[in-house]
Amino acid sequence: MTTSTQWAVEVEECRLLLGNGGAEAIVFHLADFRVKDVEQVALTGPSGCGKSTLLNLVAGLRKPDTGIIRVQGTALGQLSPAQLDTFRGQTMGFIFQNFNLLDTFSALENVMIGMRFGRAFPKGEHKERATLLLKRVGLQRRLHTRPVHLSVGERQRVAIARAIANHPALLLADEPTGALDPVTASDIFLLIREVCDEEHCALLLVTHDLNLALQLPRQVDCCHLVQHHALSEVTA
Amino acid sequence: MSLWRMAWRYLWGRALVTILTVTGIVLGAALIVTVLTLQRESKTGFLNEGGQFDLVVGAKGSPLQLVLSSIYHLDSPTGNIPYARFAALAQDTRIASAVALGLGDNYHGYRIVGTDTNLFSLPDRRDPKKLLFNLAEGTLFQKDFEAVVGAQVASQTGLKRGDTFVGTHGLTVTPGTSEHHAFPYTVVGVLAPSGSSSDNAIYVTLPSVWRIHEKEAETHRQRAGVAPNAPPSTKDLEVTAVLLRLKTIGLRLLMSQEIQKQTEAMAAIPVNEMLRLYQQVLRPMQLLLLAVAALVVIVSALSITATLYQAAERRRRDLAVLRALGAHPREIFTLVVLEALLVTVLGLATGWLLGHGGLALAMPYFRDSLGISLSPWMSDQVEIFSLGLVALGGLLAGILPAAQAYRREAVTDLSSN
Repeated sequence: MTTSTQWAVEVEECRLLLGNGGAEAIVFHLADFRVKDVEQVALTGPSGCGKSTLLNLVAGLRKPDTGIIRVQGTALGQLSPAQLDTFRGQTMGFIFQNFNLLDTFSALENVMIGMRFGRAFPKGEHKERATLLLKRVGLQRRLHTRPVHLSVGERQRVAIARAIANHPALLLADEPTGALDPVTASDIFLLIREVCDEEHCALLLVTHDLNLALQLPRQVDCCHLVQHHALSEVTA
Repeated sequence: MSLWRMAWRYLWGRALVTILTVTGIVLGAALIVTVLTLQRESKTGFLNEGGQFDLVVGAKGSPLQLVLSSIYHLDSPTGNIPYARFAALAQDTRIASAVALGLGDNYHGYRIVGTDTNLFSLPDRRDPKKLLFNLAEGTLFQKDFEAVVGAQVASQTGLKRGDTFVGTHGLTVTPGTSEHHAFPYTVVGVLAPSGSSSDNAIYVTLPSVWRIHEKEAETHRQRAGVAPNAPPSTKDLEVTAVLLRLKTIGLRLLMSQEIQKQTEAMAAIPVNEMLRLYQQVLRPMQLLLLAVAALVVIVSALSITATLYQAAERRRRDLAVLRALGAHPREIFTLVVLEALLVTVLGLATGWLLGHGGLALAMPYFRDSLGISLSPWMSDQVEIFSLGLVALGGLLAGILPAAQAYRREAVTDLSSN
């Protein structure tokens, strides 16, 4: 189930049925696609073209009906659900447009919870590393503040710290600057790039902002990768 | 961060709802603890007290009434029997001790019991090294119209050694009844609190009771054709009941049947009567209370289910994020179940404390007013089993929302934000 590890992500001819299988059902067809180790890729395209679905497939949060997806050489389809969860926690980090922080917990606890389920570091190191990462993203004075009391920029910084807490090989960012003003968006974008360089992890970043996308070494238009077919067309 | 800690933090994240849910469990558990403890202790207390005597002999009537009136100082006596009956029983070689009781008057509702000092020399059957009655101060009565008062009588009426009082005719306070002003009693001793019916009684000599009621007896004698002012003979004297301790407990039934054959008396076995009373009257009431407690617990369990279900629904995004971070579905399941478990355990522990603490606080009331001596902090197997069932119920209440959270696809809730 493991092949060479020069690729952070390998997608081979994936198909996914979207909908309930009735007349309205759509087949999501993803062409071959690869991301090298440590490579930073911007995934662009209009709304509804399938960027987020692609990200969810790579994360193993959705399972393709056919085709193979490998992350760091590991075929996700061959992992049991529990193995897949553990693998995701150890190998991938997520940054969402709406931050998706846990409001009940402080910034520090949010990062530590990420580490708890990532299982990449011994329990005794969680607090120290989480503190270090939050300092790295400029939140040394906000360690014990709950997300509701943080600015949107600060929230995304916590999300970045949480995403890299398990030292992932792949960072998946879904519109990470979409909810931010241009200045903050630029800062956050730079921060994401910096931490990816520091942590030596590949970046697959979904964005509508072409200016930001062009700052990354590689841009992929999702419309060229993904095709949508009506189920009736495929089965005809 | 452990799942326990996360569950705890989530509970405190919705503190008001958590407190209300816990309160339901607290009330249910406290009610269960209280009812079971009172059930156990009242049963033990009743049977222990009843077990001090093997037989009670009195006028024919209800055996339960005889036992209640002569041992527990409740209910009306069944009537009187001739003193000669007592004298005969006292001579019976199968009897270890026979104590006669004469009732008829009260002081502020506390019964004045005519007896003799033999009653005070009886050992306590629960602990034969101790006496059944113990003086807190003073002495036993030596002569007529001296009185030894129970602890509760002393505390409630203020009677103390050296005080005098007069009895009122009858066994309960009834307005307009005559007081025996010509025959005042003097308190010579106060009994130590025992948690039994003796706390609520006043003990005097049998002749005191007889002398007060001599006039009444004389009327009876006149009606019977005896010359007025003739001195009463022992044939005219009566007692209300005789308490018997037998040399062999196995003789209870035989002697009871023997006495039953006598026309003027009957014998009752106190333990049997009290068990019957317990089974017929007290137990159904206690079962009813337990049913109420069970209902409270069931409602609380449903409340836990509803609360956790709603909480899990509101936290769908959180749970999906945890899945994205690498949490296994079984960890999500455990997290939700732990919340139910924490609510239940917190409710049970607080309910246990509240129930037993409440009983400890109310102990003086139960001892003084109801004559029930409690061990308020004791938990027996039935209680532990019942609370265990509540814990299981709480756990089961968490399983439905936990299973719901377990089954959800993380991607649905992540993409909906």
